[in-house]
Amino acid sequence: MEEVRPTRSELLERKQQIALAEQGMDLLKQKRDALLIEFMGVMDETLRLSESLQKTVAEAQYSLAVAKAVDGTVTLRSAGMATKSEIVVDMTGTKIMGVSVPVVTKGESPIRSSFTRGYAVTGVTSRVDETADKFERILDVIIEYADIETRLKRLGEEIQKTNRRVNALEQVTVPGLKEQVNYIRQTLDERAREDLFRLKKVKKKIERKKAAPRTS
Amino acid sequence: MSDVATKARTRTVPAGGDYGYANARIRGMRSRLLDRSYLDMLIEAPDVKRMVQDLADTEYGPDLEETLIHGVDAANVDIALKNNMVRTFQKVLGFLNDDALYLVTTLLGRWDVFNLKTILRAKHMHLEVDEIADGLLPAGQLNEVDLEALSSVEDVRAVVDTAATWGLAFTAPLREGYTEYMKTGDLVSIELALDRYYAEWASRRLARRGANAKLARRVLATQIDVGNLVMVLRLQKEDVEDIDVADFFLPGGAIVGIDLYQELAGMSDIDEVLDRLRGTPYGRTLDEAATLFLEQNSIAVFERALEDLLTRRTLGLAKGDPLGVGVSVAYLWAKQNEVTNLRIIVKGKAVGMPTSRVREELILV
Repeated sequence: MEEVRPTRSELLERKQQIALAEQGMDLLKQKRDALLIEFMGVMDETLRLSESLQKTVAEAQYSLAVAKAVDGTVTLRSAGMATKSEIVVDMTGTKIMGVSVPVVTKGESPIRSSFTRGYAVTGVTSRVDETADKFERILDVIIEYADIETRLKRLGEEIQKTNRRVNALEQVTVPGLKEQVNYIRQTLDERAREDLFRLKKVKKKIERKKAAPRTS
Repeated sequence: MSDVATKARTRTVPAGGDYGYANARIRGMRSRLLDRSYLDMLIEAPDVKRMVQDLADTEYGPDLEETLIHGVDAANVDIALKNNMVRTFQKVLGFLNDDALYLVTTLLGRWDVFNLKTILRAKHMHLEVDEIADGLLPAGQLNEVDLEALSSVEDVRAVVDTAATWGLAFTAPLREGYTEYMKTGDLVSIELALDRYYAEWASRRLARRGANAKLARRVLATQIDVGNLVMVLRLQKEDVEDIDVADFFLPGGAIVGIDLYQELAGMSDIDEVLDRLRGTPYGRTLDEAATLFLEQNSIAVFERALEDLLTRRTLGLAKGDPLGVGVSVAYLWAKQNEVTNLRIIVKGKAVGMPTSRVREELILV
């Protein structure tokens, strides 16, 4: 236990600290609950996007396999050389229950039409084109997924942090303060008893002194 | 370009229109094409290794042996199949008579266009020569050496200039497209110009008299029709606005002229297009593919069905023309189809595709 001065002012201070800690703990618990509600919502969205991503990837891989089989790797490589594009992603931030969360938004959809992929559509089969389309859809979902996953991660971290704080207050700080209050209270009581005893002794002594000249 | 230019001079085969020698050799080669039962056996093979073992005893043996040193997988088998196809095409071109060579190289000109486009794309992207080679298929008049030389030039401008210096047939569209490319920095204009030019150029070259030219013209016209029909269907599915559909029309088709093409492209949906095409030689094929399209919602279904039709028609030419160029044309198409079928089977096995799906993609004739 840290060194505590067993004084009445210290006792009052500790009591105030306990009240403050309990108030803080309640607030943190409320924050944690609110974050958990938000987290569950984001979690549902993450699961939905994760399934969507898995499905899109599987479809794209299958399309690629069919295109490679029917048109040949040479054709795919040639078409691949024609397409060049950059993906513009906007990064901003927002706050959820005071938690800073990055927001990733698509500047421009990575899904292009057959006429804007960089090759002349007349020279590329629809198999290759549809494969390109499916891979662009993967990029589209990945950007959405990156946004939601980062949000989920941040919220998870914040929930953990809040939980640690609540636990620290609940398990360490408040019991510690209460122990100190008990100690101060006991010490003060002890001191009061000692004072009372001493006063009684002094009183007895005085009374004895007063009685002595009468007897002498 | 020396090779292409001197090809005619160095050839030691019958000149003119004597098809006897070439057709006899092709009949021999055709007998070595893999039949349906062999493909069935390959489909049932447990894995790619077993397929390769079986294929090693066929015409593909030497190519597989050369390529599979780097590992037995679908990608290396693909390279071996490509090498075999290129070798076979070059071999056939080497013994055709002048008349057949003229007709066949015109039909194979699409591979030259394909290779030119690959090189242009690679130069546009500043790729290395080694990387470009993976996207080339020297099955046309431009052989491996020509393509390597063309790949080694510095940029898109240099490709256009080199093509002009060599006197390539496709210099005009390259120049025409390059002007637009300079303005937009987009290769689409050159590629569209090349595709359109090829259709015009090939149709013009095949507009000769005689049964052989007529036959080659029929193949080309069907090929162009198929391209235009697929284009119409893609336009319908994409539902794009602000583009001139006529830009994507290839001239020289048998049935699909510019008027029908524009009419089809202007229709409200694919069903209407299919209704309008009923009664044409492509109507039945497209109708049959329509159910699968509804299941898969993919234009590739129609494209594959039309490719099937084109292959069957072209292979049928050999039967109708046993003494002319039909034998060579049909053989080259059969060879290309065989390579595609083998690739589908090997790749299908490698990725665990169900055999029913593999069979769906095959064109068995």
